[in-house]
Amino acid sequence: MRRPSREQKRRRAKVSQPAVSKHVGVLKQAGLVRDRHEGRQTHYSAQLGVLAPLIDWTSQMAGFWQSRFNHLEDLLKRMDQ
Amino acid sequence: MTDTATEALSVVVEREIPFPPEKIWRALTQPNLIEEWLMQNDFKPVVGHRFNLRANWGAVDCQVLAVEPNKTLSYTWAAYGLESVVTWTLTPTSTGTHLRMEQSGFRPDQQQAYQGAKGGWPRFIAALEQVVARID
Repeated sequence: MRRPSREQKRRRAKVSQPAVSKHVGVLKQAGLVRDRHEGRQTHYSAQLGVLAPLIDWTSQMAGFWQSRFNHLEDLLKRMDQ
Repeated sequence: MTDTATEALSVVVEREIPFPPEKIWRALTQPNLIEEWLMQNDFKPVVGHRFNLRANWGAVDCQVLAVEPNKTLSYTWAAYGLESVVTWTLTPTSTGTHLRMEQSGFRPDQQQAYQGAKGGWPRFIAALEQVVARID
């Protein structure tokens, strides 16, 4: 099979190189992907650990309970009067 | 040996409170007082009693598991797919009470999202890599 031309490849990808660079840049900036250069190619790998805070309900609830403890203490002070 | 799908997580909040356990117990178990610091509710300090905690963002389904006046109170806490147990422990100190709250459980839907994310990201990155390679 004949190797597709660069223009054909780009058309198949349906996305411009600047667009890809832009999106990958954002992912890199967010720490979601890491890149590794190999010749003309760049390999990207996902940094799954970064997602951990999103799935940890405990951090969300810890904040909730801290604020409820504050309210509870306020109430106890009022009950004293 | 770690099975993230069944692993329980917990939140612990502890505080030294300058009031005796008896007073804190009232705040933890009387509906009108619970409402003032937590949420609207139909709580009763009776083992097996089912109740709701209601806020403008939604409701929490609960059932009383353990009641030991002035010492410990435990109830289930189910909301938004989170199946958990909240346990209050009151320990008298020289200056008041050591109040401890532990919420333990896990969230199946988040575990599912996590598994989905774990599976999805490598696929996404592989597809991205193909796109990038194609347009070299």
